[in-house]
Amino acid sequence: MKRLHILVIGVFALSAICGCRQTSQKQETETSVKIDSTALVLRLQQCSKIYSSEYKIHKIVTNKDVLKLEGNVINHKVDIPIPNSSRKIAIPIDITIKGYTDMSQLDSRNILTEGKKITVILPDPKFAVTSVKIDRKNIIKSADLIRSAYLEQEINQFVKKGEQSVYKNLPWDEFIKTARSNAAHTLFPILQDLGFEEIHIQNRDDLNAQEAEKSKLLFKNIENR
Amino acid sequence: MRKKIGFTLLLGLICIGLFVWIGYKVKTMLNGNSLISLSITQNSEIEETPIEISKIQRIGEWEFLSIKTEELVDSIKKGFFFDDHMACIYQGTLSLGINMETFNEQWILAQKADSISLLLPPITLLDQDFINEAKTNVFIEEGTWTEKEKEELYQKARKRMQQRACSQENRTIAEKHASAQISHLLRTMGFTKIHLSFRKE
Repeated sequence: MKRLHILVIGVFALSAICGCRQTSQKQETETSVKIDSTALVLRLQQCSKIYSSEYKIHKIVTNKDVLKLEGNVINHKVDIPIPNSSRKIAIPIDITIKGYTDMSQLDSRNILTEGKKITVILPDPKFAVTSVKIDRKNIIKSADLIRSAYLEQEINQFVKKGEQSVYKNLPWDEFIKTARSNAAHTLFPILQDLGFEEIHIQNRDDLNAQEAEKSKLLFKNIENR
Repeated sequence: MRKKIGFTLLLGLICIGLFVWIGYKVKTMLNGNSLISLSITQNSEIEETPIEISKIQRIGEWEFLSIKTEELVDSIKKGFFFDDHMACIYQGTLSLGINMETFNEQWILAQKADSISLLLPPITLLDQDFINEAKTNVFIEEGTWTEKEKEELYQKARKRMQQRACSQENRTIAEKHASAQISHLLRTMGFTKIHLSFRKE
């Protein structure tokens, strides 16, 4: 009778080991990190851009992470939070976006002079993210005993997600207005110094409703340098 | 005695067979899904938080050379048993150009009819903050690192990038391009004889 027990227990243990091995292999493949090439690049680009507006944006990126036991048990969905397994982080980030006018697009069609009178038709302003900075002094984080601290790689992933969510929620229409007005204000004194007495700085006003909408969409696709 | 052992073995084999058969049946009932499939998950999503536009300001920066660069920095902390090692690749774009706020009243040296002579401000780095930390690649992270130590790594990368990008060679490239671009603009405005020079720092 004892042997029978040993036999049955052995079979159970064997099947359990097989099952465990399968899940651990699965977890390994899921968590494997793809490391990109580390080649250092240096790219030079000649340009002529007048940055006339600067927008400083502040956001606190947060994450609350509780370990959960999820899956199926005989066709029943299981979703149980594991007690004392939470960790939290709040990362303040500062993003700088600048509005610019691409002066290389200006040609004789955009600049009309007539004696001391000048008319400049500016191209549409564009936007570039010039800096994303983590305010490390003010990071707040906590982790329960069974959890490891947040890795720097995880923090960077949150910052990346935070940066993307900022773009979606910015008042781009307002930004376009201020960028246009600031571009004109920046150019005005220069033209004045050059001796022009009557200065007209215009923006593209030949956009119909449909084109304006299309143009607005282009602004949303900002340059991520 | 032999009969008893034989009977026990037979019973054991029947039990194993029955167990395997039940397992197989349950598995086919669940259409290939295993009977119990459990995994431990964690939340890697960020929460929705408001954004604050802390500052909108007018600037006047004329960029003539944009330098996109990466910098690999690493740091090792000696430990009792093991050393802590961290290596990050930072990415940033540096802008070289003219800060138009430094234009003074004497920037136009001479102007007569269609000829003009300008003294432009020196080519400088337009913004000291140029690293995009969302693009930082943490290459190696072993051991425990404080936020202060990570900030030091960032500053180290920033300094190195700045030194490399603000070389005399790059300044000369930017100056040449600035001359070409400004001359082109002035020609479009009707000036034919143009002389440009840059103020020394």
